[in-house]
Amino acid sequence: MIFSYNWLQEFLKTPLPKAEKLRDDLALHVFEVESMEKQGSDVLLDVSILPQRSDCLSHMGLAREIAAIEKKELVEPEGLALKAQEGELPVLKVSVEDRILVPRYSALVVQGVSLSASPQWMQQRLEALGINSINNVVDITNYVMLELGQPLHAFDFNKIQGNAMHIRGAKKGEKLVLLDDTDMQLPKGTLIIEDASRIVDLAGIKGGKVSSIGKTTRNIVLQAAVFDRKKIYQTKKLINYRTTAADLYSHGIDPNLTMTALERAAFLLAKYGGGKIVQVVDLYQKPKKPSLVLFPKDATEKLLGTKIPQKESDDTLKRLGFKVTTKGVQVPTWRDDVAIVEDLVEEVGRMHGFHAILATFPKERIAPPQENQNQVWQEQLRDAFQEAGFTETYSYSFVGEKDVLLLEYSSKDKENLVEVQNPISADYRYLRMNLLDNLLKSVALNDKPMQGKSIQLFELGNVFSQGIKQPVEQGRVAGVLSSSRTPSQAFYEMKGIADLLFSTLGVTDSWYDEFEPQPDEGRQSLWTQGRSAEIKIGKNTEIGFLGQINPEVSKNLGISRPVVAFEINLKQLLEHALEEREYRPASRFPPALRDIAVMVPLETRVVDIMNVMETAGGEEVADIDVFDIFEGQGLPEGKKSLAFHVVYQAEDRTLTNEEVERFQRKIVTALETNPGWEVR
Amino acid sequence: MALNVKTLENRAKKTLLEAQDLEQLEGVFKQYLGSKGELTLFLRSLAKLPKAKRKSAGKAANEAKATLSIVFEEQKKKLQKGSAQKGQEPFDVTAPGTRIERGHLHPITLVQRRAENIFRSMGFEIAQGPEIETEWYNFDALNIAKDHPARDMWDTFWLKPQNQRERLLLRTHTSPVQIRYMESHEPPLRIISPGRCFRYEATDASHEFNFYQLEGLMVGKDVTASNFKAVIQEFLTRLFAKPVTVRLRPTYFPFTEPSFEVDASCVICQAKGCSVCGGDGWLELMGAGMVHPNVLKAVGYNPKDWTGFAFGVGIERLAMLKYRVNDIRLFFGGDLKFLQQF
Repeated sequence: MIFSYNWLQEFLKTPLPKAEKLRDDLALHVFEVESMEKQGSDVLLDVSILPQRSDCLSHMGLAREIAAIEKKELVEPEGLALKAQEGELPVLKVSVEDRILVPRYSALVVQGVSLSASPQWMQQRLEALGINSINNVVDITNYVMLELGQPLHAFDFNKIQGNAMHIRGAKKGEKLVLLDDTDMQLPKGTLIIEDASRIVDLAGIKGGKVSSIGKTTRNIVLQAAVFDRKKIYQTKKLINYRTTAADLYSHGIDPNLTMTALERAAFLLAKYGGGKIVQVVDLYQKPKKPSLVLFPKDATEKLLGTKIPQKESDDTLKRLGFKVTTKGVQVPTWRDDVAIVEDLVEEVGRMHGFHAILATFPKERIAPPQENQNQVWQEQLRDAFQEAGFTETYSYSFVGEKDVLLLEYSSKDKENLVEVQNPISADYRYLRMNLLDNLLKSVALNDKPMQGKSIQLFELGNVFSQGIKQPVEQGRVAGVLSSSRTPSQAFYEMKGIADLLFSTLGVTDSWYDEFEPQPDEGRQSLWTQGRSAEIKIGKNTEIGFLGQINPEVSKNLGISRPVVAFEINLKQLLEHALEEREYRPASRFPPALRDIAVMVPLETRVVDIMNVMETAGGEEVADIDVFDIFEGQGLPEGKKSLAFHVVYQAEDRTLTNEEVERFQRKIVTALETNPGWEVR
Repeated sequence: MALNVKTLENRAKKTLLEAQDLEQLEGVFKQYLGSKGELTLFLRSLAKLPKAKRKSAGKAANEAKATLSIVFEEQKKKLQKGSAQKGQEPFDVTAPGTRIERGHLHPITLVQRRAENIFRSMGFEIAQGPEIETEWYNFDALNIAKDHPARDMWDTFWLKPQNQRERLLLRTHTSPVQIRYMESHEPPLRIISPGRCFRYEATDASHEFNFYQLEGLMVGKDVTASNFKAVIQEFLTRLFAKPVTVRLRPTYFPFTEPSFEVDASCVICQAKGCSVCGGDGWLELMGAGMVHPNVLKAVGYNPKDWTGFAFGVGIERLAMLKYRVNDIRLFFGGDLKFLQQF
């Protein structure tokens, strides 16, 4: 809220500190000042009033706070005692449907007001604070609101039909044209005021056009009401319509303020508008009384760890309008935010200055913190990626309508998307259902700038999809490689990266299976059939996919080189992670290396050949490694040639040439029992 | 005779210094000092001289031999060095080293790790929780009242409701993790909860609609605001590797009472005043406070027995200060030119 320095000064007996000092003092003890602007002889301060301090949404309220901080005496504004005089107007009958929603309704009926422009100084003040000057009556209502924080509203008495005002909840389908010509559909239950025949006011938010002050207005109803905080807040949200009055009401105002505000308005009206008060209305069935909060002597030190002298504590509270009694501390009715002892500690502490709190380490014994094992493993995965030359990226958790098209979502995928009710824009309408979609967008973004260098990215994060009862959130890890390598080379490289991750986590039972698209699995359109695998763990649990990204998708995104990627369910993976590792002494005896090349039909899987070799070779085969896969020129149609390094090594002796040859023959024989395989 | 030795020495020295390579040098050496070298032969010939002459001539010849040996050794070293260079490609120690391609961790990961390590050393455990949350965990249990403008402090992404199920949202802070942790653990406790959060707000250089937050919570018998100040000062000092002092100011959060705005002495200018801290030497860094009794009640703790502090800080904010990043949007942009600088 914007405050006028000069106006604040009016409520203090002695001069305020300079604006800069005032700003710093406010920041240390109560509110931040967002900005200060000099305007003529005045300074305008934009103060961030904290949401629980509605009592400070007025000059008087903030001045009270300043008086306490600067230890200055507060001056109450001048008011006029409210005494109804004999008049010629009929009696106004006011009734309330629900006293809980309208705790207090106060009003004056003033006869014979002469409408004119308000005094120059008042116009200037209002306009400086962003309120247009209308006429003396309306200006006074606004002026008093900015001064005391009590919203006021003026009705033209003669436009209230039947001299009756009834405050009730709106019925379904009711409407009202507001002062600013807005034609408002009223949600059921909205508080409104009606006269004998029509709705005349949107209570607490905005006046109706039919009852407004006009050029011919002579007699007015000056309303200072209190409406239920929550009700006004809900209505404001429902109709999406904001006014200063509505803001004040939804923060909550002190019901004991209405008469003070009317006294002040009457004083200003007598001076600048004339007329006489002919009726005072005040419906206030349950007056609000100050509450009492116990304040043990050691409470402040116990919570802040810093001692504040009792006298300082008592004085502070008194200056803020609290009463310190033997029974406890009496809280003024304008301080609804103070309800428990911790609130009192805050009052005393902030006035003393939280900046004066000294730092002392906790005395409590430190038990060693529990290790969060999942988190440790996640960090190990990150390290493994980094060591392999990958760069970590963090993508948005959202995808948009464009992505759904470019990334070729199936209709099933679209059904599985979790939709945001209030997206920032269409580009971020859904929650991501995998990591790769956004990773691929990053690959596309870097495609040109990286000028032919390979792009290797990875990400760990959560993804979302529709579940049976509610959305399912799942941790994932994904990596992509886009390079000039052939798709096959890239595939084996990424497979190597995946294997590296598994070995980092001590996962030993992972394997790869043919990719078989399942209609109920997400984002299958990403993968290229025949160049993708299902990543499995244990017996047959699918935990992710590895393969070449569908060239159509790559093309749509503008990626110029083939992309190979994988994405793995983190939770399932970590369930198989093992912390233990066992050292096996390296053999002291030299290894012997032999190569075997075998020609097989194109569709034969490497894993099957290696299985045969391992079984036939027996214990002395220490390692088998594919070093060449060749197909095409020079080979018969439908055949490919695979070349393996086989490492023979024994734990307990140096293998003789004869032994190695014998093992090698066994392997060759085993391979050739398959009629389609030919060792070359 | 003596004159001859000197002449010989000078000639030999000159030839030695003129040698272009080791082979030539060895040749010159042999010519003068080899077993049949001129100087060697001269020394042998001294035996035939009379005793008096022999002494002075011998001394001169021996001196010449010593001098030439030194010159030979020096020249040899020089040529050896030269030949080593000559045989290979040109060598320049100032040329740049080979660029080793390495991987990179995201700056948020780096700062989060550092923060986790510091807090772990102070006895804090790391807690995690879901990003989709219920209103209860994100607001109600945190004493954030329904239908109060204070709830508007958190601009929230809501999920489109399906069927009749509970209204769900994307967590606006990681405080729900604290609630979930307290529900399943007894005090005393110390935790930090780092994680991704979401706010429905327009993006600019310092705002993102998804971002990372690090929250901390300590609950114990006599936990005070003074303890909080010590812990957070230690954290910041270690994170930025320079002394940081902390200043607490009043603010409002529904889940803490009292609540603090935490300013840190500017880590860029050492609190002298710069453009980053707006000239006053203080950086507005995080929110904190003493856990509100209603929050303790909501998780089944007795507020009479326990007090605690809680705080929350944006990880990007810390990373921006630590690495002098001037635009928060870079963190989620996926641009390798940015990511590969870390």
